[in-house]
Amino acid sequence: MKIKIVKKGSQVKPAGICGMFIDEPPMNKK
Amino acid sequence: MRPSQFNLRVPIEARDDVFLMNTLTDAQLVVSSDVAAMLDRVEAGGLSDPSDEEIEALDLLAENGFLVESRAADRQALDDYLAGVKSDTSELNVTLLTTLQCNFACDYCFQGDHGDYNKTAEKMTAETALRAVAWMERELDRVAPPLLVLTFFGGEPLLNLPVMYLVAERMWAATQARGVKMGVNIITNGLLLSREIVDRMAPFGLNGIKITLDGDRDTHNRLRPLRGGQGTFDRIVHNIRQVADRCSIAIGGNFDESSVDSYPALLQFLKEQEFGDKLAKVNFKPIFRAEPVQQSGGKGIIPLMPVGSSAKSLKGSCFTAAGEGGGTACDSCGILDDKMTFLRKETQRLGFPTEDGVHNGPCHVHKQHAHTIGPDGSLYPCPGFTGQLALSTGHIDDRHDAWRESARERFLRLSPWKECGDCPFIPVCAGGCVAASYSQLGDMNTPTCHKRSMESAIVALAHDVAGAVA
Repeated sequence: MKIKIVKKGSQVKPAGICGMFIDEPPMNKK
Repeated sequence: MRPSQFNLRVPIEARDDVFLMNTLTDAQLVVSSDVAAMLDRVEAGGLSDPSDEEIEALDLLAENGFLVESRAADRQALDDYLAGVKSDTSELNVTLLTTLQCNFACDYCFQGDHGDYNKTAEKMTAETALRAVAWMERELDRVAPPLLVLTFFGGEPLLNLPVMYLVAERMWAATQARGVKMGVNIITNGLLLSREIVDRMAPFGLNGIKITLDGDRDTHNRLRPLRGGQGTFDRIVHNIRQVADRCSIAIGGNFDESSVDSYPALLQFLKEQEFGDKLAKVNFKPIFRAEPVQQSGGKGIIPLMPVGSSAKSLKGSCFTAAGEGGGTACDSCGILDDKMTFLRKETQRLGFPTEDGVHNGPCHVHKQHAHTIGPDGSLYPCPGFTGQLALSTGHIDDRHDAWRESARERFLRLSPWKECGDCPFIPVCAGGCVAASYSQLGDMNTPTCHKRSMESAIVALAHDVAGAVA
């Protein structure tokens, strides 16, 4: 029985995007 | 305990593994098939006398959201998450439309450059821009976010440079004074983009510029001509070359059935450019066309209807499948979704950063602290409603109009996902594009369903992830 965690569960998820109108460039993390 | 409604499962057949993802917690696991089978046994009525190994596995699955106490608890967790998105104060997000004028004449554009449109299209004045700055400062003080994301959009935002410079400069000062981080994006057709503009904006938190190329050279020139009909591809690419070493560039593209086959050539062209490896994102999406729903007080709203091969709109047929379990989209949507999946794979194959096609929402319209400011100072929940005064949710002057207040409350109550039944994609979709729902049916609480596209995307994501952990 193997379980490899790729990403732990969290309430902080990637922001949703607006693919229709805005589609912003990714925010610079610096 | 029972499996969560938001579990997704993709078999990685070559390895007898299974990719598991929970869209509510974003947990992602690669498990052996017996773990997936154990989830099925839990679903069927529980495990009797589980082994220590099974107990350990069940605990881990529960910790990551794959097992939940009950269906009611699962739905409550979804409601809590979406309420958190709505009230999120981690950023103030403002899209400012410097003008609705445009120097292009794209046939598919909702704002259009058709007839005498540009003669009457609104342009923000410096005086309105200063009032917009004052409003944003008040919002910074009221919401107290650690980050301001300011996006300039239009029309073509570079047709009103004085307002863009003025707002960026003033908001940079305002955020610096408050210890707030600021990132600026520009969404432009790229025709007027220059080093001078980038250098002028760089000190004010310029994060990235998104430029649209609609296919290879010939196709782009057909779809995105100047008002006089001249092609624009060469000039735009020249401009990208001039600025690519100075700021982050994202490439977008809008395709329909007549143009989609030219995109692989565009991708290859981009790959061969010296700026190719500097692109921060490459992401293409389908063009939707529609006759706008007529509402009082507006110029017309964003058309989001899919087109058939004859380029005629398919009216409302595309949203009929939304509902219990999410269903599937109409034939035309399915074709465009399949094309989008194909282009995403091509984009990834050539090594460009792109969206994964799974994490699509909830978008800005569901966020209380995301706003679009129209050229006249009216506030909207997203650019898709610009010009529909009846759907303005406020004004930079903080004037209290009953109709704006009513629209604001209407948007705050939005919950199209409630019609999506037990669809596992709700946390990463939230019922789809609200502007699309409104433009088609006049009902923004009806979901727009692109489950087929998301199902393809989760398979691709699963194989990428499984490959990376092999």
